[in-house]
Amino acid sequence: MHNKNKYLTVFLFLLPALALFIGVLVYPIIASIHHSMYEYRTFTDPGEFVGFKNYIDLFNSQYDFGHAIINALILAALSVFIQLPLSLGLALMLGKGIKGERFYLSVYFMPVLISAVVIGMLWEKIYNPIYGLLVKSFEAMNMSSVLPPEGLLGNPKTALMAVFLPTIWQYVGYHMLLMYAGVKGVSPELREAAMLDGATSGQVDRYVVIPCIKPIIKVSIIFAITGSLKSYDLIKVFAKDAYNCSYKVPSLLLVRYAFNNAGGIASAIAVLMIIMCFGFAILVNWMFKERNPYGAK
Amino acid sequence: MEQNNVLTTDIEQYSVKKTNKVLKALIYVGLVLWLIIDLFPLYYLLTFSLKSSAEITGTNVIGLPKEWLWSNYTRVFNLGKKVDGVRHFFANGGLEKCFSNSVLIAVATIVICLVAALMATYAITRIVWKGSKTLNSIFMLGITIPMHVALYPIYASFSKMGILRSYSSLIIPYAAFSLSMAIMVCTGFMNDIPKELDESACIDGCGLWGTFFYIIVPLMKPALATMGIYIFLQCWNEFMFASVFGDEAHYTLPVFVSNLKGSNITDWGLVGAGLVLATFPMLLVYVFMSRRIQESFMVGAVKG
Repeated sequence: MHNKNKYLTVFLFLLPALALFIGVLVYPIIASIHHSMYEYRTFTDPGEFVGFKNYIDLFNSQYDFGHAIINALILAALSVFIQLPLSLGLALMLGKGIKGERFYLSVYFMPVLISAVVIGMLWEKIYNPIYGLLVKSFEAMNMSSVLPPEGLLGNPKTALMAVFLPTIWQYVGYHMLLMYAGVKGVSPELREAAMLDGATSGQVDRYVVIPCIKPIIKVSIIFAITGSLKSYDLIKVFAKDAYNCSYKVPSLLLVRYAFNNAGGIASAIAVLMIIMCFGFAILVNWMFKERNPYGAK
Repeated sequence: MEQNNVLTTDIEQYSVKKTNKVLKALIYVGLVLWLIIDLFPLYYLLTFSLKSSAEITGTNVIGLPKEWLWSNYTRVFNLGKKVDGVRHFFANGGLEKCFSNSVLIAVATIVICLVAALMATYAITRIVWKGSKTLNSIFMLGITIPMHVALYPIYASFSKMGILRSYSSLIIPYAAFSLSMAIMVCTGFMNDIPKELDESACIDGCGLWGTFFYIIVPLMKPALATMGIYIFLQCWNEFMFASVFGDEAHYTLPVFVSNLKGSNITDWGLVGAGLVLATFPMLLVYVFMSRRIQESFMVGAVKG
């Protein structure tokens, strides 16, 4: 009797969270898997059962999803290998007890709060091939021939880079903040001990601080990769202007097909996105486990 | 303890002398350089929002405006509204409407998400029952699930239920996708509350509900503040659902901004003023609450 009561209470406490979780997270995943096996030309009509045809079709030239995945992976790689080292560098520099470190920290973090839509619109102006800040400053240095005449966004070769630059600008501060918190958390005794042993400031960073903040670097890497796989807002703003294949990313295609009579295809993209996000999260976790010398302890 | 401090300062002085001046200078150069990179686009935005098209496009690209055109700002406020009998064409109800939509949606999301998360966390961490650990790990999986996945199925079911193009069509998905993070953060905070408090409340005749309302909730205020800020910013900047699920009456600020592009592509002053109005209130709040806001972003990543 008492036990029964307890389970009822537990259930009541869990009810709101479970309703949200099952209704908006679990159900869509199951529905996506189901939908991805059908045509779904409209929202109400499943159409024919096609099995895995949607997944195969995704990669042919009509839907060109392979291109989108490659673009997303390039963005992810750029984030991990350019943006994170930059953040780490800034965090290490700030961690040395610089005068005014709070000020630097706060300014660096500021762009994180700005909506990606605003940032997209602003950078579009900066990139404008005729009047933009970029072309004007290159003109002033007599180097405007370096830039493509149709603008960085218009040129298929530079478009992805043009998408990446504002992303760095916005998110370096975020990763820097996480890493800075880690750097500050390294106990001063460890640094002192290393310095007493004759380590230079660079060696302390390399052999003491970075190994200590490995868990945070791991989280940053996971966030950077999944964030790149999901990136939508910024690219949507840019792509409205000049749609070309150099912008294709999974989420953009998902929205496009979802509302263009190809719900099955959109659902297949959704399923692949979940798999990729989880896959990378597991992969990064595994990589950090293998190389952690203290892991066995 | 005293001695220890003396030792520390000695080492630091020693090490500062040893880490040569060049390195120190390089550090400052690097920091200031990124400071400029960070601030310059914002400065550019602020100045071109006050310039005329002629100045922006040729005569005065980078400098301060020669003529401060505040009319750019009044024109933003007129978008989507009837002025002098003429409705300015714009695909939403105007800046104030979008602003209040954003606030309403964010606040409702925070309330729903935090209530659900607090109750769930209480059931998971404070009540002993089989399967609580498993359920917690299932909730944690939610952090990795991208929101995009829900777009198509939720659109379909919302349109079937007839709640598409309403506030709840945005509030429900936002609350659900912040839930996992909120439960994680609440678990961290709740584990810090000593279990003895629950036990003494129980001895005093307080039931589970009573303990929850009178003991746990008041002590969770810091967690709620931190999580509230985080959820607020997530909702405030969300664009994909807001643009797909909303309509003229329910658009939020990011959609307002993206709509500026449509008909005003050449009118940079107007677009700039719109961007500033959509962004700077938040930055102003940040100036006064920078530490709290930063903490709210850290707690999710670090506690995980």
